[in-house]
Amino acid sequence: MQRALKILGPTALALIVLDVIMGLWVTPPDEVQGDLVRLVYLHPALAWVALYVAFGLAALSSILYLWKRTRSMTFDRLAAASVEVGVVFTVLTLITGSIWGRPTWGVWWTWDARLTSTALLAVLFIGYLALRRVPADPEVRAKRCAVAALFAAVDVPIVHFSVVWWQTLHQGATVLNANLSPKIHGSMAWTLLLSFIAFTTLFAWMVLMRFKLEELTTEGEDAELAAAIDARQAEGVSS
Amino acid sequence: MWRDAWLVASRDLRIEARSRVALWQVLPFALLTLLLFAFALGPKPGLLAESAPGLFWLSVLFATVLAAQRSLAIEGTTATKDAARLLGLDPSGVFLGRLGALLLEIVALEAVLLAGVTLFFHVRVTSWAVLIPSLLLAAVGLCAANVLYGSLAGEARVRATLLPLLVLPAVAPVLIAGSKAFSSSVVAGDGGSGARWLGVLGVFAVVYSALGIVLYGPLEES
Amino acid sequence: MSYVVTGYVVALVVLALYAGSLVLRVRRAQRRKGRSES
Repeated sequence: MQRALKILGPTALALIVLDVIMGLWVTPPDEVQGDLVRLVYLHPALAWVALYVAFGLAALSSILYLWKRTRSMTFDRLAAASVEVGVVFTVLTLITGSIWGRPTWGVWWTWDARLTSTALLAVLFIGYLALRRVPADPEVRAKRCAVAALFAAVDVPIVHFSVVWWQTLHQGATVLNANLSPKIHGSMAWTLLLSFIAFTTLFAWMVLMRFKLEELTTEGEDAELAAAIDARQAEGVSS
Repeated sequence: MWRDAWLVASRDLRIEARSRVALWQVLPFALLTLLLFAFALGPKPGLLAESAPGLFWLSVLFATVLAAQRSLAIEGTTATKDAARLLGLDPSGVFLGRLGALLLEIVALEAVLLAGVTLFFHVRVTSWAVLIPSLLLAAVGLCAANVLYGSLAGEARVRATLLPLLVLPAVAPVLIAGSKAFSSSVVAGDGGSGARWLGVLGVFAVVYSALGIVLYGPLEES
Repeated sequence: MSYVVTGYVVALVVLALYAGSLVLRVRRAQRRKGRSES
């Protein structure tokens, strides 16, 4: 894992720097959105990582934990790491989406189906993190969190359809026609792809780091406990 | 499984019959929220009538969490858990039983709230064929989610603040679909869209009940 | 363009801060573990 981290870290950094340079300078402005289109090399990648990569990994890890044949604390830690990094990316998705929306739509927020679903997903993720902080036996906590992640995963499609139908019924009343999805070609397309790869790489590094932190924390606690027990026993021998 | 469900449900209901907490606390709370909504939005009759579907479901949602906390508090005592284990009760049955008891309370609550909303917010129902099923399906989904998340949320002190945070985002589809179904049963001739929302409520109810039947046992083992 | 720059800056700063916090927390955990094992 050390080696993976050593490779992923600098790679992610390099790819993101490249993405920023391409996005802010090299690529041309859009015919419709002008310079605003440059946010397409940031926002969709963040959304992709948050909603599909992070959440998908969390759900998958949780299922693997719950299934007796593959149960292992590794999956619990992976799920927890995924969710925490996922929350960061989700919040950033909302913020960058909002910043893009303001000049495009004239408002900082709108009850667009995607924004709404993403906001709800953020709250579901945060609920998972809150549950994680409840003091409990590690295996109890792992089981509870895995189940919560599973509930959320199952809920997501239902939420998605509900919100889309809820939103489309209001379409007529709004003035929001400008889409956040411009037409993409040439260097723009390559940079877009680059952004996805760059942020996925960053996610991978962050999840591994967070996973490592989780591992070290539990091992650290075990080591401290063992040391304390040894110290106590040493006292008993000498007296 | 069904026998155990009946056992647990009747126990929960008997406790409620004796303590009357749902009757004297949860129900008044729900009616209170209607009052508070009116204070918040102002007495303009058009606005309240238009918001009524959403406000109705908000009241139901909050009251359900409250009722669920109560139900979980009863179940959570060590004595009850040991008794369940000693009796060899099927955990799926326990889940269904708790779901059933809570469901009865919530359906009764919905009926009273419906009367309240009709009276105070000047709502006139035109399509009962959409409204009644929506009330029932939504209640099943809500209660299933609450019993499930309730068993996740730990012991009472933590659960008091954690359960709302966990369960309310998860039941957002019920709020959306329920409100839409209610709206469509108040507007004449809008049965088409009502069916779609009943579908959402149905799927939610089935999914969460199924999850409960399968996962309640493993969850409670801790 | 200022919106674009703001967006990039906010996202990159937040990510950098989070990444930094991860690095620091991992290092601190490694030190703690090293101490109690020796």
